[in-house]
Amino acid sequence: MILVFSKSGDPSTLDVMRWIHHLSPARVVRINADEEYHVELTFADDDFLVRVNDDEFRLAEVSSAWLRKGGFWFKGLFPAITAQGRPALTRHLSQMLERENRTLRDHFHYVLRKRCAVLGSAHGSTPNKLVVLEHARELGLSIPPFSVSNLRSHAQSLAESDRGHVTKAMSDGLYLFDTTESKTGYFTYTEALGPQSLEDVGTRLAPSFYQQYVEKAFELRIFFLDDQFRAGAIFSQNDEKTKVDYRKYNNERPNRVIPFRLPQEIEHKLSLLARRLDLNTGSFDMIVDRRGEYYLLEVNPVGQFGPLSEKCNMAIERMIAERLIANER
Amino acid sequence: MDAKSLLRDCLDRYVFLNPDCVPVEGYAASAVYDLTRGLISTFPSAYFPFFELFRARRLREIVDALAPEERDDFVEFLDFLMEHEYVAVVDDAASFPEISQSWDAPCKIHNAIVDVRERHHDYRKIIAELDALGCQHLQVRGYSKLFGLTELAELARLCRDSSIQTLEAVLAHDPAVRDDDYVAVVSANRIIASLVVHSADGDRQLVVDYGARGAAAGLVTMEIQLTVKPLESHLDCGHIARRQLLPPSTQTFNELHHFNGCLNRKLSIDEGGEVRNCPTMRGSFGDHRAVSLADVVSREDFRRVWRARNDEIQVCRDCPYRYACTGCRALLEDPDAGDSKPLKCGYDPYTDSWTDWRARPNAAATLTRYQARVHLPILQ
Repeated sequence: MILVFSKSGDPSTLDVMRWIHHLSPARVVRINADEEYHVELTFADDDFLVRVNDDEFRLAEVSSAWLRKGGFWFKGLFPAITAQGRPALTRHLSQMLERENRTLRDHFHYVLRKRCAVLGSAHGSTPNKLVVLEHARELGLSIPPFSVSNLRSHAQSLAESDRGHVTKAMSDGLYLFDTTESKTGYFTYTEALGPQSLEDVGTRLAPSFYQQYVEKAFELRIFFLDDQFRAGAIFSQNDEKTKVDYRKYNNERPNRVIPFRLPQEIEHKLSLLARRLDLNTGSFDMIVDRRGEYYLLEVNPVGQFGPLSEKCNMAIERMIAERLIANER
Repeated sequence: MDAKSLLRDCLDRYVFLNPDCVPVEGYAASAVYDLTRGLISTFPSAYFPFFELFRARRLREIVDALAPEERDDFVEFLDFLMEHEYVAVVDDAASFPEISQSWDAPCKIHNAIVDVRERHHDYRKIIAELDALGCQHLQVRGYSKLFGLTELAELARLCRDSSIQTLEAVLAHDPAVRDDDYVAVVSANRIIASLVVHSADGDRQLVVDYGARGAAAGLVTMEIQLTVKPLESHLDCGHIARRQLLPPSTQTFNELHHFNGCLNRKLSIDEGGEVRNCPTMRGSFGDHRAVSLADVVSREDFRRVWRARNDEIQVCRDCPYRYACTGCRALLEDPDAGDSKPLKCGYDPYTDSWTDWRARPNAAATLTRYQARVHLPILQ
């Protein structure tokens, strides 16, 4: 049996599941983190007995698990507690229940990893962007120089320097489709740092991440699964709209994404970096400058590989499906 | 950058054709398929050999070999390639391999058509068996009012939790159904990706926005088309004009190198309930109530037409649009020749011209021949 943890509406999950059904008779149980469901759960004798809605399974039956999207998937196990008129106690109790929940989750993941082949990172966590950059530097991968500061004067000196700089979130950027209230989408991007960025800013601001802007020849989106790499080059430099962040798509003349052969040395270093970060799948974002220098920007353990796979005909969905059914008996 | 500056500054480099821009040679005109932008542009086939030269030689060697009178044409051709951003100039193209030409899809049947006129089919059985085959898209065509809005809503319900991702419907207009009713059913069933209502009392579009507002509405809105044109029978299908060409993508472009763009992994139930490759094709594989669709799909004689590639069809093999065209294997210009080009195609690759296929000699007579052998009498 194959266990898939995801979110509803993730197109890549659907495509991978189609391949699993096409290639194998394996039973697949999919649990979506964003959906309401009933969970029954018993842990005994080194095994979990889990029932999610109508799907019942023992962990011993699971050959592979894919942690595609989401955090902890067994929601609503601990009911919320309110001590009437005692807010401090209520707060403390809910923190305590959260710790109970986390302990159960960590144990579930421990047993899951012990028992079966797990693809994806535990608890859907994103590695710390700044730590990733430190690791990359230690392994000899170039990174654009970065700094973090809450001083206006620091930002000011960067904005006035000869070299360009960009700023973005230290964790993940804002990415929200509000389907209930405003019914609209909210996004943040990587932005160029200019004098206008500091208008109406006091001497102190929230600690902000700055990175030197690299004049790129092209960007690389690199999917990896274990030690297999699939890279695509994105020519976003010719277009003012996508120059700083290619996600600001130009719909009339979309950027070209074409297959790219990574130098072995870069592939080897990325492989080491993935191992250090304990990731067996994900996507690296890199840029190549006009002199042919490679820079690592970040790694995304749960990124969208669909467009890369489709445009460059890389059959990534099939690769993942084959990896997941490989342990079926 | 334009061709003039290219010829001034980059003579010792290579003109590199982006791998997502693929040249396709035709008889009079050839084409470049832009797989990222979904566009095709054509140029006189005399220029086609340049693509071979670009791969093998630096720009200087190509230019030096040109006769003086060829030079202006070459500059014009380079401008055409650069204007569409088909080419870049590189020192070494070794890091950019070609896009793989293989094609496969995670399903035994990719899409299906169900025709309804005088009697209903066993929709429950059809959907269950299509689900087992991994079918992704279903089209239902109602020639009469028998298959109406209520039936469409019920079919959408049956498709829920199946492999079917999109449901397209073509229904006959029913004066008893209000425009709001069409909108309500489509709004309640996101699986309905398209709805065309034929034989209507007037042409109009009904907008369905699923309750989205602002910029998000632009992403999800769909339109229901009402048209006064009637849909009389399955013989109304198979038209090939410019607007029927598929916007090229890596997937369709590759698929059409290996398979027939219309029939590959398709299955149909005609109005009489017979299983066919398409409702207009001869050759029934039995009544859908009596046979298992999986058994039909595994039959070699059912799958044979999937491999009818445009590369192997007369005239089509010389056409620059052959990897963007689903073609038609049911209605042929010469019904007696298995590899004849489609009857309803208006393109002539030998003169690079589009005309109305009906104006061709014998077109009307051929269509009459097809009408005479329709599997069931057409009752209005």
